[in-house]
This record gives sequence, structure tokens and C-alpha cells, in this order.
Amino acid sequence: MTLTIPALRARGAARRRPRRPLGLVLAAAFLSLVVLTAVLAPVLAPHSPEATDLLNSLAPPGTEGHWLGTDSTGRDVLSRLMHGARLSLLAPLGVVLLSGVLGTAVGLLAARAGGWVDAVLTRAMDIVFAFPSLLLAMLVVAVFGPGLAAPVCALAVAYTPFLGRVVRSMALQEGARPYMESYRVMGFGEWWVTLRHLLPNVAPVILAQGTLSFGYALVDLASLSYLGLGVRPPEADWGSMISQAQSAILQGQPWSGLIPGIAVLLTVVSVNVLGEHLSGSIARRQGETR
Amino acid sequence: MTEPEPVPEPVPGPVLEVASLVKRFGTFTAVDDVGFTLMPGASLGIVGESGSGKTTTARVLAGLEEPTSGTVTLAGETVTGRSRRDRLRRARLLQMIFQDPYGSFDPRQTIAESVAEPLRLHAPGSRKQHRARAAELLDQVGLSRRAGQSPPRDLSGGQRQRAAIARALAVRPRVLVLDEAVAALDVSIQAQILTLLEELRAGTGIAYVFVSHDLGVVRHITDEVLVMRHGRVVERGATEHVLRTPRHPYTRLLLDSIPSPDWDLDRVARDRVARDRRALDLADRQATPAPKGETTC
Ligand SMILES: Nc1ncnc2c1ncn2[C@@H]1O[C@H](COP(=O)(O)OP(=O)(O)O)[C@@H](O)[C@H]1O
Ligand SMILES: [Mg+2]
Repeated sequence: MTLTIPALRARGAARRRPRRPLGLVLAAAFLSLVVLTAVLAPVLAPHSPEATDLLNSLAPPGTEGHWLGTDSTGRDVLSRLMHGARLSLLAPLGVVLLSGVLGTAVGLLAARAGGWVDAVLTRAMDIVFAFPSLLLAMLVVAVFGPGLAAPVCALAVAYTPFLGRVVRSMALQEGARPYMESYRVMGFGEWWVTLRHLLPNVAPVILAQGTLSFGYALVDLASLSYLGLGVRPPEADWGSMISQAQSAILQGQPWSGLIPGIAVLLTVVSVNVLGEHLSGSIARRQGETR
Repeated sequence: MTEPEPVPEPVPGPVLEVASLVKRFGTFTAVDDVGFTLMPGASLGIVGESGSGKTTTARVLAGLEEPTSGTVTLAGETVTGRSRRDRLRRARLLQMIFQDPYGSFDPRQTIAESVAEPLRLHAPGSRKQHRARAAELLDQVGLSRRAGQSPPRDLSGGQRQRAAIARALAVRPRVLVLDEAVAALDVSIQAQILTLLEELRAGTGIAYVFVSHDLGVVRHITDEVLVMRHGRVVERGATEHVLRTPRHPYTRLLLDSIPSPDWDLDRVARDRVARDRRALDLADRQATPAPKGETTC
């Protein structure tokens, strides 16, 4: 065993260092670009995202002064895309953080408390899991009215079972390892051991799962905005841009809707590539150490 | 932080008394009316085939399982309950070493960090003092500074078990329960760990409850032995006596079924005499302020 470990590590190091998969590099580069343009949108955007110019409406991409064209009221698509990136990224981030905290808490509590607490929480997660996330968000919007806060909270709740289940099973697995008991014999309390030793050991899984749910949240929120249940005009995200392009698409001018659609697609794919890579490297590392 | 309780003075009585211990899982009785006493600095073996209830007994002693009935008395005080105070009191008197020396460590911590961990709870002092004490403990069990800075996966099985011993000693317990502590190691490494345990016992007066299915190992490290079968104690007595002239047919069967060619009986006997002399010296030193020139044989 001691002989194989250095061999494994040497091979791992040789495999990891010089080359990373091209897809991962592209995904990371694209996401960096998106985040950067979102942060710097007010500086970088060539036009105001709300400045209408009816004479230049529905210009195709490549038009002088409007690289990505204009929408049906003549607003610059590139500028709107850059500004829209802010809400399109921030809102899913909110969902991921909220559901991350909720899911981790529920998963840890279920696994460590056991008994009826586990039974109740697991059942509750099953019910929420079976409920379509978009439908839940729509119901919440129907009650609280449109705006981003309500759907973000609703989606956070809807996503909690995804993480909660993973955290629960990881915590059960990790909690069964002997080091947990050695800390108990030393006199440490359950929750101290859970937070100081168990949580850090399952944290990589939480990170990977959170990354994956970012992609789902982005799509769900874009869908809500598309349905007019998300951001309220004049604020815009990519989903509302697609929604507003509907009539133009029907008139055979798909660009102003297609471009934000492609932005959603590429961002989600990139985030998923990143998430898959994280999960993969975690699985590999656990294979090595167990 | 509560005031740390003073380490109890060594009392002349037994350091561990177990009386009529019963542990049931549902209707199945894993431990059935087990009782024994352990004097300071003594070493008691618990042997028996797999499933005879050895591990369950050890886990009850360590507080990992609540006994169905019966009592565990440590240094004169009955220990029960899982309140913080009870946990700390039990932990300061009794520690446990597990079979799997890798699984016994948080994979994210270095060995030195793991060894310093119990000090956070049991020893007042700064981080720096804890680090220094951890280094001292690692040195005591023969681990290098470099081994201390490694994660557990980079250590050999024997090194990990040394580290586990160091961590258990951090709280200066009076009793160490070892559950198949050397079962996962090569024979030569086993001998090294057993020698270390002998040295520690002679040096600190700690008492061992040594759980093992390996009679060779038990013969080397224990003075007395309990033979368990189906949760009951079927035979007990001085290790050497029980293993040379077993009375119970089950013990005879155990002896026949476990070959231990690596243990030279005469050498073991010689070691034992030398060790007993040390142990007696220690007991004398503890009992009275070292009267010189007394015979111990
Ligand atoms: N948590 C448990 N639940 C149910 N049965 C158990 C549990 N722990 C141990 N047992 C049973 O108790 C018996 C004794 O087990 P154990 O103490 O591990 O024996 P040994 O260490 O001597 O091999 C076995 O038959 C085992 O299946
Ligand atoms: Mg066992």
C-alpha cells in the first residue's frame, strides 16, 4: 500500500500539471469574460442599454456601431447583453448561495441527528424534489408579485433537496469513518466534530454540486423572465431580452432573441463543464485516499 | 472554557472496574455479564473468535455504546451519560485505539495537527504550546518531525498506529483500550508497536485493555486474559497460565486454530520477567517514595 501511493501520486502529478482538457480551458475563459463584462458593463458598453432608436430598429449583427445589431425598439443588443449579464449571473448566484446554506444545513442535520429528524427531513426533501421548480417559483410569484426576490427564494427552496440529499449521503458515509469515533472518545461533542471535521471533508462535493445548480438556476430564472415573471422592465436580463424579441422572431428577425439565447446556452454549458470537472477531480482524489 | 479538572491522583485501588456488563442489540445479546478489574499499570487481554463480543465490550468502555445494564467504574467513579462534563471526565481517564489506523485520522489534517487536536479540549494553553506538546508526543512514540507534517495517507500503517497512540496519550489517560490495534500490521511492525506499548506502560504506568483475536500478540503484551465466547467470559487468569494450560475446551480450540510461529515462547517468557520487574519497580515508586535496595523477585 505504501509502495503504490507514491507511484499513484507521481502519475497523478504528471497527468495534471502540463495539460488541462481544452473544454475546461475554454469554459473557464468564457466565464471569466462574462463575469468581466458584467462587472465592467457601465464602462465597456458602447451604448446605454435603454436608449431606443426607432429608425435603427432590428439592425442585423455587424451593423456599423451595433456589432450585435439592435432590437425591435432600436436598443443596442451588445450593450443590453452586457448589462443583462449582471442580473443573469447575480440572481442564480443568489439561488446557489441560499440553497447551498439550506441544503448543507438540512443534509447535515438529517445525517447526524438520525431517527425521526432524518425521516421527516428526508420526506420533506422528497416532496420538494417531486415538485417542479418552475411551477413552485410561479406560484410564489403569483402570491408575492413579480420581481427577482420571490423567484430567487422559491428556486433556492426548490433546489435544496438536490444538495441536501448529496450532503446527507456524504455525511452518512463520512460520519461512519473511524476518525469520527476517535474524536468522540476524546470527548468532543457531535456538532463540533460535524462542523470542524465532517463539513470540511464534504465541502468539495458541496462546491461541485453548487456549481452545477448554478446552470439550472440560470435557465430557470431566464425562463421566468421570459414568461414575464422575473425582472421587471426597464431592468433586463437575458431571459427578458429573449421574451421581448418574440415578435421580431415571428417577423423573421431572430437575431435579437437568438443572441441572448446563445449567451444563456454558452454560460450554462461552461458552468456545467466546470462543475463536472470539479466532481470528477473530487471522485479521483477520494479514490486515491480511501 | 471551563476550568480543567485536576488529573486524579493515582489511587491504590483499581483504575477500571467493570461489573455485570450486558449489551443487547435488539434481542441479540452481544455482551453477556462481563466483569473484571484492572489495576494501574496492568495489562488485560480480551481474546475470542470473531463475533464473540470483544469490540462491543471495548466500545462500551469507551462510551461509544451505552450498556444495557452493568457499570463501568473509572478511578473509583462510575461513568455514564453523554453530557459534556461526563464525556470529558471519561476521556481524561480512558482512551481507545482502533484497528484501522488510517481511518482514525481526519484526512485533511496533518498528523501533528491531529495529535494536537485533543489538547484543544483538554489542555489549557496557546496554539504554540499545543504544537510543542504534539511534537513531544510524536517524539515519544518514535515519529519524526517530517512524519508529523505529513497527511495520514503518506504514512505507513505502523507509523499511523504510532500517531494514534501519541494522540491517545495527549490527554494522559490512565487506561488505554486497544481494539485489534496491531491486527492490520505486518508481523515485524506488530513487534515494534508492542515494544513501544511495553515501554510506555513501564514509563507511565498506564493500564491496557488489549482486545485481540491473536493469541501470540496477547501473550506478548498482557498479564491477564479473558477468553470470550458468545459474549460471555468462559475462562480467565494469568495469560501465561491460561495459554499454556487452558481449562476450557473453547480456549484449547482457539489455541489450536491460531498458529503463531513468530512468537518464541522462551523469549516471551524472558521478556516478561524483565518487564514485570520494571512494572513492580514502578508500582513501588508510586506507592511509597522509592525505598532503596528492596528485592522485587
Ligand atoms: N451495532 C450493532 N448492532 C447489531 N449487532 C451488533 C452491533 N455491533 C455488534 N453486533 C453484533 O454483536 C456481536 C459481537 O460483535 P463484536 O463485538 O464486534 O465481536 P468481536 O469484536 O469479538 O468480533 C456480533 O455478532 C455482531 O454482529
Ligand atoms: Mg472486533
